[in-house]
Parts: sequence; structure tokens; C-alpha cells
Amino acid sequence: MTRPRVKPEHQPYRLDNGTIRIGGEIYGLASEIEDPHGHAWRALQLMDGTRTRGEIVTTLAEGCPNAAELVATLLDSGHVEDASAAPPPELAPAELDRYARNAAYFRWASLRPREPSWAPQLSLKQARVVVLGLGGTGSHTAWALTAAGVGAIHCVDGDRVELSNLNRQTLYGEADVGLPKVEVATERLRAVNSHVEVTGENRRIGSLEELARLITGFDVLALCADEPREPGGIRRWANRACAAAGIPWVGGGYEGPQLSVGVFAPGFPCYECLRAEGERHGRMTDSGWPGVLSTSGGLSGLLTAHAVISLLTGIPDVAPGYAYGLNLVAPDDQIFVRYPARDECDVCGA
Amino acid sequence: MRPEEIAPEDSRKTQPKKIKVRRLAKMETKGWPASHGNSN
Repeated sequence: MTRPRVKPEHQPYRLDNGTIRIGGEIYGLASEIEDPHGHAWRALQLMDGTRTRGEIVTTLAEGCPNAAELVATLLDSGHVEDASAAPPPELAPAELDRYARNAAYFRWASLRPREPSWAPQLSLKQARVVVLGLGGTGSHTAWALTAAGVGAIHCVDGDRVELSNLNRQTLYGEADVGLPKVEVATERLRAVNSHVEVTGENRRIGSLEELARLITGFDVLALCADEPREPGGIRRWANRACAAAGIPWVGGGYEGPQLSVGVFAPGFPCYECLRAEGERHGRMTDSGWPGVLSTSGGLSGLLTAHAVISLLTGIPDVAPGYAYGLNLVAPDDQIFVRYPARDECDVCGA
Repeated sequence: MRPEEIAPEDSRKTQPKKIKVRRLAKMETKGWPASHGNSN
């Protein structure tokens, strides 16, 4: 790191006893540093982007015998960035302008030590994602991934737009009723972001083998389709196809007012293990009743897109093999489940 | 005891404690944000 600077969103402050709080007040980011001698506070004040690491250590060394170690610890904390880091040349000036808020978000939400603030955006640009299903969940997922700047998005759906879709499916309007969803969706998405390579197929996926062929060459599958239903349906196909291909996948959807997303990747407990264990606890439901609002469908799609972005950028760096979500009739019930892999699982079992 | 034998221990005593950056637990962070922040 050439010129360390405390991230602007992570500005530190001191409690009465000299202890430093840094990273704001958000759980998962905020940290505390005991600092009885004031050395860490002084080091953080010196990290304003105008000095080199060596200059900071030299200045701090007067009265602080372990200055180099202290500075190294702070640089590894995730609260400090390199003020001299230039954007990667792969991102055009127009992209730097378009994605400036993305970069600021990633800088804020990341605790990856020494990561240049534009590195996550470059990871998105270099990624190829399949969005399977362009309905209540997938229309929002495809929009969010396109707006965020994922490099290539392949949209797959075999349905046509119906009037009853328009209460929640963000990519379609009244003039589109009767048209293939893929046709309308790809046109809209290209209009949202011309830096993204948007492709599409007007088709349904009818077997595990078809899905396996579909995802070949892609980095992540966003599964936003719900048919064929479980057991043994599209989610099980996704689990098996992605495990065989060695890529992660995210599945999102809603059960009335409860929205959830599952995040899975090779080397971690798989969907079938999570579902089997969830059913033992009586928490997994999949009734298929059609009730959905623009808000519930949209949130499920946005949570799905966010999980894809997290997988691609590592922000936040949460181990896959879990499901989480929201219960809109009980806002205090934020859902999170993670179970170990079953020994007998032929997909992920050890 | 010769001076050189006790010097290392004395110098250890004067070393400041190594700092640690500790992530706050959920209960240590504010349960309710002071504002909703931006909405643009």
C-alpha cells in the first residue's frame, strides 16, 4: 500500500477511555481498538493519503517502539485504503463515472485488507451470469445485475408477458403483453446498461442435462425459476448441474410474505443438504400459492442479485451453504439457516 | 546477576502491548440507526 488513507466511511473516533471505534456503527464492519498510549490514534491521523507507509512509521517511531508492527496491523484491518491506487485500465472513463457509487459502496462494505476500491467492480465486469427465469424474482435480479455492471448476463425464460405479471415484474409494460419475456427483457436491459453483454433464450429448461449445457462457460447461475417444483425439480437440477460444473449458484423466491435466497458453491454444504435438514426442522416450505406483491417479489429478486454480487466480489465474504431472507409479516424474523453437509450426500458429502 | 542478563526482561516490560483490532459484537453496535442515511 503506497499511501495509506483511512476510508472516509470508516472514520475513527475515541471513547472517553481512549479506546478507538472505527468502521462506523454497523455490525459486521465496526471495530474497536484498545489504545492506552495513543499510538494507534496517532497512526490513524497520519493515514490521510498524503504520506507513504514508511513516512508514517518513521514519524510514529518517536515514542512508539513497535511502530512498524502497529502500522501493519492497521493496514490489515480493512479500514484503510491506498489513496494512490489508480482505477484499472479495463474500466473506461464512462464506467468509472457510472459506477462511482458502486465503488464507494464496495469500499464501505469491504473489510478485505488492502483491496483497491475498484477491484470489486472489475470482478463484476469480468463475470458471466445466467439468470434463469424472468418473472417476479428474476426480472429484478436481471435488472440489478445489469445496473451493477456484471459483464455478461444471459437471460432464459419461455413465457410471454401477461397482464397479471405487471403488478411485480419490473422489466415489462402494458405494450409488452403477449410478447416473449426474453425479447422484451433483453431490450430493456441493453437500454439500462450498454456496457453489459446481454443475451437471451426464449425457452424452458426441461432436464438436468439441459441445465448443465446452459450454464457451461458461466461463472454463476441465478436461479429465479420455480418449475418443475420440488422434490426433484429445477432447484435440485441446479444443485447438481452447478456442482458438476464447479460453479456457485443462488436460488431466490418467495412464499407469500416470506422471501428467501439460498447461496451454494462447490466445497460447501449443498442445497439438497440444506433442504433435507430444513424439512427435519419444519422450516422449508414450497406451497406454490401465487400471492406476491411488487415489494415481495422485488425484494426476493434483489436479494438474489445481491448474493450473486457477493459471490463475485467477496463482499461480504460469507461462506456459501446457507439460506437467508425476510419475513414481511414479522420484521423481527430475519431468516438465516446453515446446516452441515450430510455424510451420505452424493453431491457435496465429505 | 550481570546487567546483560536482566536487560532483555526489562526491555520487554517497556514494550507497549500489541494492538488488536476487534470486530464489535452485534449487541455492541447500535440497534437502531440514528437516521436512514441517503435515499437518492
